[in-house]
Amino acid sequence: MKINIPAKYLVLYVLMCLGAVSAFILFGHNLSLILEDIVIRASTPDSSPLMWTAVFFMLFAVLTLTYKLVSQRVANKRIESLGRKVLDKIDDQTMKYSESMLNAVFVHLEKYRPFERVFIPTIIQTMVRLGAIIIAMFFIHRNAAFIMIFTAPFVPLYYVLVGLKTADESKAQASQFDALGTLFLNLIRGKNTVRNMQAERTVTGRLKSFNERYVKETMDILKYAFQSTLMLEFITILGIGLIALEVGLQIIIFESITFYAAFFTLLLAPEFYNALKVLGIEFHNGKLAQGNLEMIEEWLEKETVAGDYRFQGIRDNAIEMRNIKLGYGSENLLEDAELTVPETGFTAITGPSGIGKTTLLRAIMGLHAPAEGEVHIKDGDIGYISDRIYFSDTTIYDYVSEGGYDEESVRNILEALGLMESMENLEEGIHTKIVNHNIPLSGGEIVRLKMARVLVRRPSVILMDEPTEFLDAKTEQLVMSHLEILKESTAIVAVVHRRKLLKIADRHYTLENRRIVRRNGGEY
Amino acid sequence: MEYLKSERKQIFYSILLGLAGGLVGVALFGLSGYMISLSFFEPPFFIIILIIAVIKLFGMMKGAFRYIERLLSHEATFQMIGRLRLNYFTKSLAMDEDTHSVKFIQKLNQHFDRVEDYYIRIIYPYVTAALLTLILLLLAFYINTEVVLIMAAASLLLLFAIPKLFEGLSYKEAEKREETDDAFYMKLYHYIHDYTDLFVRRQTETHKKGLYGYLAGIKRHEDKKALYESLMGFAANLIQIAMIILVIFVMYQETPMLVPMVMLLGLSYFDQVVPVIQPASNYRTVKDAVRELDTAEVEREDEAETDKNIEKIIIEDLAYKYPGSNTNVLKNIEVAFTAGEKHAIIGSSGSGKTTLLNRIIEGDDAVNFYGNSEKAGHDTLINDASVMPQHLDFYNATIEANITMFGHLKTSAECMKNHLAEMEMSYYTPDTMITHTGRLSGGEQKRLHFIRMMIEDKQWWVMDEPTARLDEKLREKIWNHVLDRETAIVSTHDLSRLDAFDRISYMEQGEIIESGSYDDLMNEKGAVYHAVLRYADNL
Repeated sequence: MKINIPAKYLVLYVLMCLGAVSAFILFGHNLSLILEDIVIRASTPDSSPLMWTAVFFMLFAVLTLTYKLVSQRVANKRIESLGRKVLDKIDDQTMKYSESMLNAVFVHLEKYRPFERVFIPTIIQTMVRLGAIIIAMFFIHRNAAFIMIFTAPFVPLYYVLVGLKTADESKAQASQFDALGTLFLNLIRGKNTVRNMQAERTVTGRLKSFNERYVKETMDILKYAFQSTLMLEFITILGIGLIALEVGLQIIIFESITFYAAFFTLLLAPEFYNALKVLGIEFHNGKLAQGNLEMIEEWLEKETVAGDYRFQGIRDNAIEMRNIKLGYGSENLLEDAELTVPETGFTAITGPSGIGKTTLLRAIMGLHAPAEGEVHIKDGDIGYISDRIYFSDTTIYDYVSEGGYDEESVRNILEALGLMESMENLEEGIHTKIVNHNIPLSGGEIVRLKMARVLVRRPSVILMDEPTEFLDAKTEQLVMSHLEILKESTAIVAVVHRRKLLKIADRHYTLENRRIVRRNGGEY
Repeated sequence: MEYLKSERKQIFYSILLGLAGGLVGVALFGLSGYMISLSFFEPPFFIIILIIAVIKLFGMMKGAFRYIERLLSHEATFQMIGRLRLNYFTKSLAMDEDTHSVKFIQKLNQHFDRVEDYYIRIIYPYVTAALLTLILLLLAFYINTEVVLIMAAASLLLLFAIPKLFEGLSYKEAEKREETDDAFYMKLYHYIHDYTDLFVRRQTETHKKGLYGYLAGIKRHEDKKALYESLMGFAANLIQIAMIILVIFVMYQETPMLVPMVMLLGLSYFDQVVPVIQPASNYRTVKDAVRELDTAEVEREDEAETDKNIEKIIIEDLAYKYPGSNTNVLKNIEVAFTAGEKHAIIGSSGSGKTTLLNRIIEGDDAVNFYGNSEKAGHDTLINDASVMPQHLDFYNATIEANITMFGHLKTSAECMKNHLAEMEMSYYTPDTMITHTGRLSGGEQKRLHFIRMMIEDKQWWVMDEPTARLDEKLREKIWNHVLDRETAIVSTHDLSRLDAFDRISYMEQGEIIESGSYDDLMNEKGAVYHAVLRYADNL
């Protein structure tokens, strides 16, 4: 498990922890002085060490508070920037894996947070403590320091000999716990199918037996995990006991230790061994969090299109594609393909599904870089009417205007497309909120809304994926006559599924054998 | 605590052991403190040896107690969670709530994580710490009343005042955090699904900045949470030092010998109690989660067992609106489906086809099921129908478990392999593990679910877009199977085999505007006629 943290923070953390543990040691020093006064000399404690006791403890408390605040803020900052990196990976294809993306942001990132927030600062704090206490012990009571040095390696040694198995087992337990959780959540999510197939009894029974098996197996595994904690506890007790025994013997038999040193030693010994225990326990937690980081990293490894690969500023045409090689990985959809689209007119593109028509449009839009060749466009002023509809938590007005146009322009364009009548039937007109397709829009209305969204902007190039679902004849006529007017001033490139639309096409290309082939005279 | 009633025994013993462990732990440090005081006054040597032996023994006991106690408390928690899950699942089966959103699932997951904390991290350590405090208070009477008072004040502050003070703050912060999460989720979902449009309009950067804003918001909430937690630790430290100083003052004259003992004892007590404070301050948030999972029982009437098969479905004046909406997505639906007939429902998207199918599957007051001539006494069609809804469900399990619904359908591996081969999915075997997210394409989902239906093989087949997202060859195969059935209700955009249906209904804007046989409707030259013509025009 690597602790991946910039050096400047590491230094800052170590210094702060060093400050805190030094303050604690000085607190112990003063407290021991006072107690020596009280117990051995039976005198009234001096006010000066009493004050120092309080001061150093306060210093310790303040430094601990600051350390926690600073380290957690740094951790939250780092999680935030990790989140940004994940968001940066979103592109037009993410839609297909939206669930995985949402999970990365809302589940895995949150489950990884404790690693940065708790695990890393705790490990650093613990290491500093262990070191500082041992060093202090050399000055207070050397034998105790030797006992610490002698017993401390038993913890890692135990982990090497026995604990590795535990670590594996606890990882297995974590993944099993995940498996049960996932099955349960899966079933909740997919309850409709359970219901439709009347499999309630079988599935509930399955969940129950899975659960029972899970409790049993988990407890078996937990026994190992707790056994290792028990061992840690024994090592701790052994260490503290040895130190206590040694101190006792020193006092009675050799009479070579002051009360001050004896008490101070017994004050610091538990701090030392507790720190050791914390290391063991945190190791387990760290492992769990790392699994989530792996899920996030899967997203981070994804390649994204670096910048705009298109060349802007051609004069005579709207689009020119030269020697294009286009595809996914090693699979090429187009090779050595050419396409020229003039500044006005309707260009139709046909071909069987899966041959790369939509990918071609995406290459023009700047969403899919060709493996070879150049994409030239006049400017970036492109509108896109996709073949799918996505409405969420928006109003018709917001959808069409996207904040950029006033109500009148929106009304005008809706009117022109014959949509105002049906919009006025809605309770709040064009300000009716659309949630979950709660408004019965017909296919024709949806297509026209999408068109309205592009047309309100009047881009110089319109790319269009014709919806494959059928519209009624009336709507189609309306859409067609609009496109006919539009193509006089605009370049329209449309993936066409219907013969009828070819009638308004000025040029017609078909994708076949990885080429873009021109058809005669715009007719099929 | 009522959520834990079945685990009473484990809880009782775990608290008992936890308390014993705590006492022994505290005693351990107290004894070491006492030992050093004593040692300097030349006690018989065997007493020191005895004390050290006891210290060791106590240490071992503490370890052993904790070991058993942890096993018990974890077992109790896992059993409780298992039971809660089972109950929740049974209840959710009876609810009509849509459970498909990641947000819903994520929240549920979070609730369960919190419930896990409920006993192990909140209730149990708190009860143990409180009992430990009580016993120590009683023991403190041996020293003097001032010490009792100091301890009582300290523990009241630690166990009650600080958690209570921060409880309200953390609760409010958790609420605000949830609001941020909800808004962030909506925006992120929108960004992912609208990406292409946003990209073309060169608005992705603006929208992404907005999303960054939510991440920054989450950071602010987390920082606040960190602040509260650190402040709680700081407050505990202040109480600790105040107690140390006060104890020295009230004890040094009469019982100086006991001061080191009380010091070490007190430090060990704080070590045990301080970790309880922060989880305790989350009590209200966690309790809300527990309550959320324990929502009132929803009674869904079990489908009456009846021998009568459904022979006819008659829908009379069906209207429907989504909960929370006041627009009818279905209106004036009057239609009948008869066993032995294949019925196609066509119309543009958004015309209400899916909603109508769902009303038939789930049942509605306006949807009546008849056996031969009388009412069949059914509330839904699912007894007699294999269903392919719009949204298909798969689970993280093997292909076999997914197809047979964890063994609900009986079939052989051979049979499944044949079906997989026919559906051109031989790259899967019944043992292949699949996951519900991401990995299955839309077409694969259709085909796997279709195999489910073929194995389930009920009298009625109700299907929403069975051939969408499939290539020509597979469409052909699916249609052949569907048209081989006696009875089917199919909503589709794919009109390639429309003529093979006995009856066709055309929907527009939530209404059925045409219904009849293929030949009659073609002669009428209405909506269906035009739709067929237009379909033929497709390239």
